[in-house]
Amino acid sequence: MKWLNRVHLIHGILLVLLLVTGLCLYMTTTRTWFNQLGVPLVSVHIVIAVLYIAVVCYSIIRVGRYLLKKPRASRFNFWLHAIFFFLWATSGAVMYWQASFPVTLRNGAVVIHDWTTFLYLPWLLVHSVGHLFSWKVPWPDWWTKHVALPPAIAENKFERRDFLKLSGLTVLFLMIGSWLKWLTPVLSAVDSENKRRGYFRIYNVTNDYPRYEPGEWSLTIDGLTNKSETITYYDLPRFPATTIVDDFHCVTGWSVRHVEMKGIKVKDLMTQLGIEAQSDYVTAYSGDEMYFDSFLTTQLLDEEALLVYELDGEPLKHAMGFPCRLYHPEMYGYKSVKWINRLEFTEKREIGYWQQSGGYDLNGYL
Amino acid sequence: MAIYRPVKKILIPIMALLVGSGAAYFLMPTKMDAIWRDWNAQSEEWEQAVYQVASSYEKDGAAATEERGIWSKERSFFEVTAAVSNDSFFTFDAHFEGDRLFVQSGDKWVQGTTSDRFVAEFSPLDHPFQWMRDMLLEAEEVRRESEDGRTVYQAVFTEFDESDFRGYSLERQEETTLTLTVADDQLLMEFAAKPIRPDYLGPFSGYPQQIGFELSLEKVDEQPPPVPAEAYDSEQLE
Repeated sequence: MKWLNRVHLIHGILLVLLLVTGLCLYMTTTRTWFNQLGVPLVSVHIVIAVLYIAVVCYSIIRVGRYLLKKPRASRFNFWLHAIFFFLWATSGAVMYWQASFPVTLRNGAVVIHDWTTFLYLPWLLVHSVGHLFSWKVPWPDWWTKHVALPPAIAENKFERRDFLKLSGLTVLFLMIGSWLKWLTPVLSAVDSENKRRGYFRIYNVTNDYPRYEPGEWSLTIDGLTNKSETITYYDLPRFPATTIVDDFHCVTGWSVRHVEMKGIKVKDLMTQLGIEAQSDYVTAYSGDEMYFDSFLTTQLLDEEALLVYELDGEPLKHAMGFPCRLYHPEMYGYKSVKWINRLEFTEKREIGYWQQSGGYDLNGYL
Repeated sequence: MAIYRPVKKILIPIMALLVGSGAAYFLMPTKMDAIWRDWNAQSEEWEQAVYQVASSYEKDGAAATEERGIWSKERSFFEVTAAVSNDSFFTFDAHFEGDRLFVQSGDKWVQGTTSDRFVAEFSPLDHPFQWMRDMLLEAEEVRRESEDGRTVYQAVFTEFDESDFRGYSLERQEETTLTLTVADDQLLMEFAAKPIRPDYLGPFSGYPQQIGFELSLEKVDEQPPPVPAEAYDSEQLE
């Protein structure tokens, strides 16, 4: 019993820590606050998750043996947690190893990871309040004690016959529904291929991000080059524009498909301005005065990197980097420096913000 | 209340209806979806072969260009005949290699890349299967009929979001179809368009009432001829 109590306590602490860190990661304000403090919250969340998985794997059989002999409420709690554990662990693993999975699956994993957390919160609140204040929910006896079920409940017991009936009817409705859908004269596959799928989650490293007015922004290209140049917002349309439709991938697992981005290729801008890079490295700085990331010069010039100023035909929103952000089609979103205000060519490669704070890969290729 | 007990008598059919019809709605394709997916998937397979090609392009019933040659995904060669006036033609050879184009007219070579405006005039000869897939993204309806070893796919278009055909912007369409006939090792792609003239075009801008493009592809074992060495040193297209 002591062992079970200890496991329950450890399980509870780890789960609460996971929920707190997970919710802090989900909410922009807290996520940004931890970024500003320099706490690598993603890594903390992952470490706790690994510990939690280890505790569950170590204890599940013994806990199961104990709880499955108890009244229905305990059996329900065991299965509820087993299901939630499976969903959290599986979706978390897909998010962690996202590069090995297709976009649809990894976006699905993010949604499952989020929603299992939200759905779990009511249970956790009731359970925690009950423990803290020794408050007992007035559950009926048949739920919390070993007593016979009342007739109104007993007659609804899910039996083999009911299972067969449910399965048979489900298959029947599936067949009828499929036949009706097959006959529907609609070409929906085109829309699903064409349309944007997913949505952006806004991650900043500072709460007070730049809210530039058009006249306030400028981009300077300097460092080890033949000359330095600065362009303003009003110069952007003067350079040859390139529009691409691409999938935007975040290293945390979500993706947005079919995003239309319009901007100027870094290569075209340099050519038009007559700037020649004289070093192998370049650092892109954000106007938030905190974030920056570095690239090989060839990555920006030869791999179609863009300075994006329109997204889906509209100017960028302030939180998305208005008026201009960097974008590399083959790299994760953290390389896409928002509110970019400086490209500095350097002799040595700078170690970017997320490489210092989160251990992210320096090149960030998908 | 008695008739509603046990509640599972009602709950089970409701659950089955929700799960079954929900799964059908979200997971099952319509007939057109299935044809569309099959057409796209097949096109990726067809794209891997080498073809002897012959194509013709007509504007308002008059022949504009004719091309003969050999196509592969990596490299293609065409002899192009372009109408200059009613009774005179201009001929030249064109080689595609990756995203580069080499044109030989008489003894003179010029080169460009597929992003050049000039290359748009060859579309969809450079990448016919990719062009077909791009067009299918704008289809309103698709059909498929099979008969005597032939399969005919047809896509109907009423409006294009952003498509050009040989320099003409295609937007709203009166009657436009893309038909692909597949028989053994032969494919016949036919694009017949009756585009509606865009409002923004001025009175002096030419715009066809009808566009016709036919491309026949016959699988062959040979490879397209290599690009001659002198072509690589030629001038860039202007």
